[in-house]
Amino acid sequence: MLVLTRKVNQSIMIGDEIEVIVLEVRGEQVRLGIKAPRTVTVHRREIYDAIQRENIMAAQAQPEDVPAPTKKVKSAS
Amino acid sequence: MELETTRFGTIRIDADDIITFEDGLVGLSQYRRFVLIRHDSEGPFWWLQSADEPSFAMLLIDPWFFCADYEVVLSDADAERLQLREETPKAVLTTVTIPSGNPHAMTANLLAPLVINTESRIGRQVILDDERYHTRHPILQEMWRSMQAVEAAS
Repeated sequence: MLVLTRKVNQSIMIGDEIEVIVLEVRGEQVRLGIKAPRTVTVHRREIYDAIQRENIMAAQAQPEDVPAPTKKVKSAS
Repeated sequence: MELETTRFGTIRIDADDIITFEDGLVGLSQYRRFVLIRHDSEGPFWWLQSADEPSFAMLLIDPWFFCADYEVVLSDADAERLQLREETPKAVLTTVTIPSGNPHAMTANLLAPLVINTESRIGRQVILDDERYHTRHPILQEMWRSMQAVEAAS
């Protein structure tokens, strides 16, 4: 892993198009700004991990686990 | 053509049935080509079966079945990759997690729906930028909430 030291308002470039800027450091929190082309997706790591976990769980389901035919419940008429 | 699957045996599919997820699924980029199999003719459940790995199939649900006011707003980048325009026919499904031994506690991931361009057969798991949604919505509770919202509005 490449490790770089940066100060507030300094940035790094990833390739020619992606820039990560340190906006603010307050105790243990760091605010980052990210400039990237619209086609690049940027997400917090923990969200990505949580989605991966749900995907793996959904792939463990077996047909017999699925609740018996659920009729859409209609409001009482 | 025929497709071997662990859960459903050998099924017959057309080449047109294949849906391509160019980037795979989030955290599971090894699977790219899938077919959708309906769990039964009545219910809201579907399976996303890998066309390359017989044992890989993910359980999905029609999110509007239990969350009537669910909204999917795609980023420009996602819409572009899906080649979606306003009028393009599309399908949206979300993954389902069933805790073992407790199917009534099943949850759906409304944060990261699977969006499929049903015309060009391109699919993508998108991550919504919407604070209302997270990865584990209890399906039965959401159904109840939706029903009350519908009643309140009528």
